[in-house]
Amino acid sequence: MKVPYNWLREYVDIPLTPEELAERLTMAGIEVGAVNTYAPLGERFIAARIEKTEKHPQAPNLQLVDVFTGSTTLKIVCGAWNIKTGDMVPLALPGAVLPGGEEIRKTQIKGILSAGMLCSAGELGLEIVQESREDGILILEKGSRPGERLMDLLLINEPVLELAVAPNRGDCLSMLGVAREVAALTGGKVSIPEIDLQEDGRTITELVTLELHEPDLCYRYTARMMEGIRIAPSPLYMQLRLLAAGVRAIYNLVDVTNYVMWETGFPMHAFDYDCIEGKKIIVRRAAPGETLVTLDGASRVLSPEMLVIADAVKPVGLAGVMGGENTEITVRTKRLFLEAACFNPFNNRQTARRLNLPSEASARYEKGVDPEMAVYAQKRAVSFMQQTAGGIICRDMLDLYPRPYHRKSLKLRSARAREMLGYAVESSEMEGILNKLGMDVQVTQNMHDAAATDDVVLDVGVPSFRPDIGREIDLIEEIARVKGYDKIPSTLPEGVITSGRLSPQRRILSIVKDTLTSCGLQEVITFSFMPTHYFDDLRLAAEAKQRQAVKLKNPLTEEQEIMRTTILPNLLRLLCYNFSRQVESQFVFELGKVYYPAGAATGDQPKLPREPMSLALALSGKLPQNWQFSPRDVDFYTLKGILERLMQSLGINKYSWEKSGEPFLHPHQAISLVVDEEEIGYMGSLSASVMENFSLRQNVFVAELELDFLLSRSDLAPHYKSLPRYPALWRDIAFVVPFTVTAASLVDEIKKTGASLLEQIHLFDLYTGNQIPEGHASLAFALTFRHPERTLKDEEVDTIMQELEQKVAQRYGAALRKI
Amino acid sequence: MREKLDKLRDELRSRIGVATELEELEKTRVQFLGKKGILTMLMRNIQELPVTEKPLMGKLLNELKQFAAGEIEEKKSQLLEKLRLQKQEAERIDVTLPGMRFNYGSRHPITLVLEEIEEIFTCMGFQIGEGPDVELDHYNFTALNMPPEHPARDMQDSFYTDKEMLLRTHTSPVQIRTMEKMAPALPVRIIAPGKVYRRDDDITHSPMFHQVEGLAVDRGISLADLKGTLLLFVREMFGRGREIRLRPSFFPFTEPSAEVDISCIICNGRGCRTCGNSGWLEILGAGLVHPYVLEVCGYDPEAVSGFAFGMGVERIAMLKYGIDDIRLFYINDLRMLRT
Repeated sequence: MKVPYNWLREYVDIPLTPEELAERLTMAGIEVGAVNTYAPLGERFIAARIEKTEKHPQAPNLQLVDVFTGSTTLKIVCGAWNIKTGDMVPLALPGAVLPGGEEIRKTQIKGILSAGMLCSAGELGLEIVQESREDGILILEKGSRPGERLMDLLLINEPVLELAVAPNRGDCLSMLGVAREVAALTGGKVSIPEIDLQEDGRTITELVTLELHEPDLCYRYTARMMEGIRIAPSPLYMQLRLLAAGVRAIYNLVDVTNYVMWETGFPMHAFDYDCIEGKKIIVRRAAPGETLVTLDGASRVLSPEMLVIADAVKPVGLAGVMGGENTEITVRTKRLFLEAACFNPFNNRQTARRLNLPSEASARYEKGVDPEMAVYAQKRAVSFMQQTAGGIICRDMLDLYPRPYHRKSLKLRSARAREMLGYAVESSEMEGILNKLGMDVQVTQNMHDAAATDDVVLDVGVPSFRPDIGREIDLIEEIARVKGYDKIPSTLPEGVITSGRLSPQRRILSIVKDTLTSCGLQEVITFSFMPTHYFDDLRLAAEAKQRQAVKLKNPLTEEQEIMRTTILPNLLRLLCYNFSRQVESQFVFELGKVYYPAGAATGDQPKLPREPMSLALALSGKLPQNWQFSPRDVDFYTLKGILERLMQSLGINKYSWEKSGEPFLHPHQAISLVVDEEEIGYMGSLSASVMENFSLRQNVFVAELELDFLLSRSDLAPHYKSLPRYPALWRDIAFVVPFTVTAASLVDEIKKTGASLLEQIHLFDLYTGNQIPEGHASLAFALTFRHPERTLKDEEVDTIMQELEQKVAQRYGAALRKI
Repeated sequence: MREKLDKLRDELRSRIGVATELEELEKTRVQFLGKKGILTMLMRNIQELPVTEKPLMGKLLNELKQFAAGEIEEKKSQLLEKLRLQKQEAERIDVTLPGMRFNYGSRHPITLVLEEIEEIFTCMGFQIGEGPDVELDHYNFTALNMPPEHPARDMQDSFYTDKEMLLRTHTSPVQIRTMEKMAPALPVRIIAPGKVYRRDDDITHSPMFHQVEGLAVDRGISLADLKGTLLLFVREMFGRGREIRLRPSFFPFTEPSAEVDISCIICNGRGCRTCGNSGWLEILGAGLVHPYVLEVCGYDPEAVSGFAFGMGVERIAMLKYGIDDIRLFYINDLRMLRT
């Protein structure tokens, strides 16, 4: 809501500059976003009187004008012809800067020196409507004084406060409402303009009858009529005020309804009476399928949830949203039916939203309009209309008010207020603040000795324009607000001490992040959304569980149409983004929720989706290079090592890797992680076709784990073992085996053979090439043996080693390799 | 005999003097002091000398032996020292060459801010509460005093997944879930960090972002307690010198409600571009828990009161790290994240 400062001063004294006022209002909860100046015209624009006009001797399309500036007469060359002697016109003196940036100078025009420029409204930056179509020189009002500065005369250079009114403060969508706030904050008094109405001619009831079918949707319907009116542009001051408030001037009747709406907050609508059929106005629901061409020219199909204003045969307006074209005021309009009604906020909002028709009127209706203001508003409007459009105001008015407003009564306990505020305010001050806000206050004493404790109850009558005040706490807020929140002291809650320690789950999450970042992975956060086509890009089967996703009903884009069931594709897209920005080595992880739809709802409570935590990793590129070592690519084992380290950090020792069949992984470079016989995730290298689908041109290694499961198995308590008391014995052994023999099977064999004496096993070399037959590899292990209760003898270990050699040779065709 | 010893002493001295290798020195030692060394033999032969000469010669010989051992030992340590120096010289490296490189990874800036906020409040005795991202309309709106027709629902255009379900538009539903679970136990002190979603996408809005909700319910909680708690938080988060300013505002689920500003962290309140010359930065919304909300959750608003607040994590991260486009957090440009 734009509030022109000088307009506001008509209703209340403001002992503050516009900037101070903005600050004061903001600190009282009426947020002022900015103070802007409307039509900033400098001091060099003045009013001047035309003394004489004559033709330019050199140019037939120009004329020479003598203008009186209050002190002197100047000669001006002018191209417009709508002026005559005696007219008051705007004059830009040399040095004046037009809104377009052009500076006015003394100029020779066809041999004659022009001492300035007479301006049109357009040249002054004023979008006003004038009687004559052509954009001639702006004719100022007769009473203007030559030499008066335009900024004072037109109330331009007007500081305009841009209010961001909270949804509960519909009352501040009006000059009077804001004036009330100002008065409460500064101790001033609001003056409401008085209206002197001259009714004449016929009585409204002779011309129209009113039926109100929906008292739930229309709380009050009032109307007035005028006859013999003349449509014309509004007076300049009204147009300029509306422009400053950001409302386009159109013609007198509409401008008045807007002007009065700005003043009172009460929206009104004017119908051409002669287009209303059957002398009847009916407030009813729309019939199914009924149509109405609204003022914007659009044909609207209506439904019974919408409230319409209708005559005897057809709808003539969408109640509180927009009028119908069929009863629009035109230049031919002679008789006017003016509606000032109060509609149901929720219903109004619904209709406005459904038809996508936001307007200043429905912005007010949906925040609640004061029904008690209806009669004042229509009286004010018709009185203005008579001034600007002539005609007579018919006698009497229509007013159906099925459920009149009853003043709400609330109790405010002074002790309660102090308790909630956390500081002392005297009850007399509370009373004063509420009074200034337009509330009646009766003080009754509480059971205690009120004089000593100031413990009283205030009976507060809430006025109709503050529907937002419904409970005691609302009154307490008013007191805090008007006093200023800066008066609130800073204290800390008292009471018992509570522990805020992180849950074990959260502590473990932190360990996961610590482990992965210390392995050199960067944490990323991607959207919880994803597009459906990622499932195809990942080559997931039609029945894959990931495809069961929570769908958004109203996504912003197709790329965000479902909730992710896997983090992987978001990471792949992120890799692609960074590759294309020359980041060639990427080590990333994300830890976040994935979303799986719940099963069918049980009972009437809909079931929420499952939201387990997932951990996804992706690696690609090179390990950090150093001048000492040759560069190395990230590979399968880099990622596997990171996951093994993670399991170690989480204290999970019992797990295994099985072959994985994820469709997006390389068939021979994919494994799944199994804990307690549950498969809880996979890792591997991305398959070539999926790489292509995500525009990835170098190998990518990925993993995704169900983190919740890992968290539940995690064991962070260190389990100390007593230190060994007897020495260990070490042996190295290398087997040459065909490629088909896995390291894991050799390890198994070694473990079985070594049994309890084998303390540690470490694969330290894998060699193919020279001296090793084709299709074979040499795997070298370092073994540590120890007996817990005595010193092992070399011969004991030698026996084990011989047994091992034989077994492996038999079972895997392995040859021993000398090391 | 005496002359012989003097000669030996001279010879020893010159042999030690010219020795440049440890082996050479060792040879000399064996030659003089070894089991069959010259001095050892002389000592053995001393028995055969006349009684009158014996004591003197014994003394001289012993002196010579001690002299020999001492000289050799000293020379030995000289040679060892020399060897060490030679070895070190050979081990000279270019210490200006760069060190071994390890991959560097860090937490996402949003995580950093979240963890810092969590740390401050958990130290103040607040526990961490949680709630689902896909939330029931009831928890996101209705229980927070926003019935289906409430105009405040417009303030937050939401993503719906179902008639009754939506992506939560704020972390405030966790207030309800927590109180429902705890009522009538006191005190309630939680913060609830998490993702929230709104249908907006521009330089200052992301369809997904993070909030941290705070809630304290107990007997006698006041606006002053809210202000004090937030002041403490702000000074921990943004530095000792920060001031806060509360402005009245409107939220359906708090009454009274406030917007909370901090003195600008860029200009210290003097006025700059970041704070729009006001000297203040808006960082969170807060208020006393609306009595309706307390009632819905099973608390008696006559007996207890509470405060609640909610802050945008991105906003704080943007201020702290000088980031001017909220979307940068979710583009995850590694060139930015790694810094």
